This record gives sequence, C-alpha cells and structure tokens, in this order.
Amino acid sequence: MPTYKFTGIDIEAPKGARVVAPQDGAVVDIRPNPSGTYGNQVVIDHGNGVFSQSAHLDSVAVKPGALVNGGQDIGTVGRTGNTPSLGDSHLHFEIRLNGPASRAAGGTVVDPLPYLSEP
Amino acid sequence: MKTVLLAAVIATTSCHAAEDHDIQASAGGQGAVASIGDTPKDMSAFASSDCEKSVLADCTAQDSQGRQYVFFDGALSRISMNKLDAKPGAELPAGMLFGEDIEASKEKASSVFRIRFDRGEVDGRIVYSSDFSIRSPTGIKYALELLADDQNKLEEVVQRTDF
Repeated sequence: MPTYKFTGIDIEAPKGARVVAPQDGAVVDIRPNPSGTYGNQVVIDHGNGVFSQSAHLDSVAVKPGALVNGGQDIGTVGRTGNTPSLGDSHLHFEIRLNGPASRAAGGTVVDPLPYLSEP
Repeated sequence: MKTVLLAAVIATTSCHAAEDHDIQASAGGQGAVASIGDTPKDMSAFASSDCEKSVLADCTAQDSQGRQYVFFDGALSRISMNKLDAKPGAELPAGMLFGEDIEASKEKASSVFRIRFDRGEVDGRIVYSSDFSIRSPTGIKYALELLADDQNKLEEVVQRTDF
C-alpha cells in the first residue's frame, strides 16, 4: 500500500516564535513555491549541495542573496501554506540535497536531523 | 518571545495522526477528475493548469467545475472547492451541498466516510477537520476539512494530505 512521503519534520511553536538559520549559508529564495504548499519560506544554500527549507513562516526576515550565520534570525513561525485549518502553528523544516533546483520541490529529500547541531 | 532553535528540536511531529480505520473513498466528489495521490500523465482532463507537461513536482490545476488541485512532489496532495468558485452542478463528496447548515454537512461526511471530526473556529467561523484516516483509491491517506461561512453554512471543502 503506498504511503504519502512526508518531506521533513514539523516543530510546533507559537505563532511569532523566532526561526533561525540551522547553519551558515546564503539565502537563495524567499518566494512561496508555485503550488503554495510551503507558504512563506526561506531557502538557504549551505554549500556542498545542501539546501534547507524553512516553511509555513508568518514573516520572513531575510532577502535573497543575504549571507546568514547559523543561529541568525530568518523569520517567525506561522501557519501559511498547506497547513490544517485547525492545526497549530509550526515550522516545517527539511533538507534537500542538490536542490531546490528550478522548482522549490527539487533535489533529494533526506532526514534533516543529522544536519541539526546540538544546542 | 520564544526562540525556536532548530538545533534544539522541541517536538518532531510528523503530523501523521491517523486512526486505524481506513476508509477508501473517492476524493473530490463525483465530478472530480483526479483523486488524492494520483499522478496523472495527461493533464487534458483539467480545465487549466500551470504544471509543466507531466512534471507534477510543484504546481496547480483547476477543473471545469471549479475544483482546485495542488500537485506536490509528483502527486496530487490537495483538492479544494469553495462556494464562490464552484460551477453550477458541481458535486461535493458525500452528497454535501454548499449553503446547507454545516452541521448537516458534517453528519453526511461522518456517515459516508465513517470518520470523526474535530470542531473549531477560525476567524469566528466553524471548521470541522478530520484526521488523516480517509484512504484515497490510490491508497494515500488524507484529511477532510469543512469550512463554514459567517452564517454557519458550508462554504468550502478541502481534502489534503499531510505536509
């Protein structure tokens, strides 16, 4: 029986909570993706083909081309995009290798946890 | 203001909260041209689409009855229809009708799909939302959401996979 492929992890947090860059990198896109699934998002190129996507943001604090340091604010938690009508605000976070290519859903989705450092 | 540190993963929930009472069901009503999880090779069944050829990575489509379709990562992930966009004769799942009391809509959907709904309000309007327990003909589980207008009449129906 097929199962739907979930493409990242969800981190529940209050609307407006700070979202920070997971590692150093360059912001490559802040536009909602064509289907609107991610809502407001920040896509960061971390080098070596590693891209992070932080989605469903309420607000975005960076612009394309900006260089960010790990831990730097990039936006706030929200509910934009394809989120449940009665769902809680949360951060959808994913890592794509060799993406996002021309479309936001490009590249290869991998488990994001190994890319998150210990606090 | 609380800080969300990605390094400190507070709660990694995959959103999947489905109960194990799978119901296989036609997704978008009798007139829907595709079901949740579908990967149509021919987009000619849709009235319009911004999908590039058969690439369904991240795009949308509409059918002639006013349904909105979202394709993501290669498959249909969301179907929705609201009262304003629906064309005359457009059919909803479970025999629901736009403009009827949303309690009646909820009863119809509960009976046909054998699902339970959580009730809430968004901007003062009633919303009923199921868990991801309806199984599409392609085997993909999805949730059903019913949204009312300010008169508590059914205004929008959404079927969506988890994201």
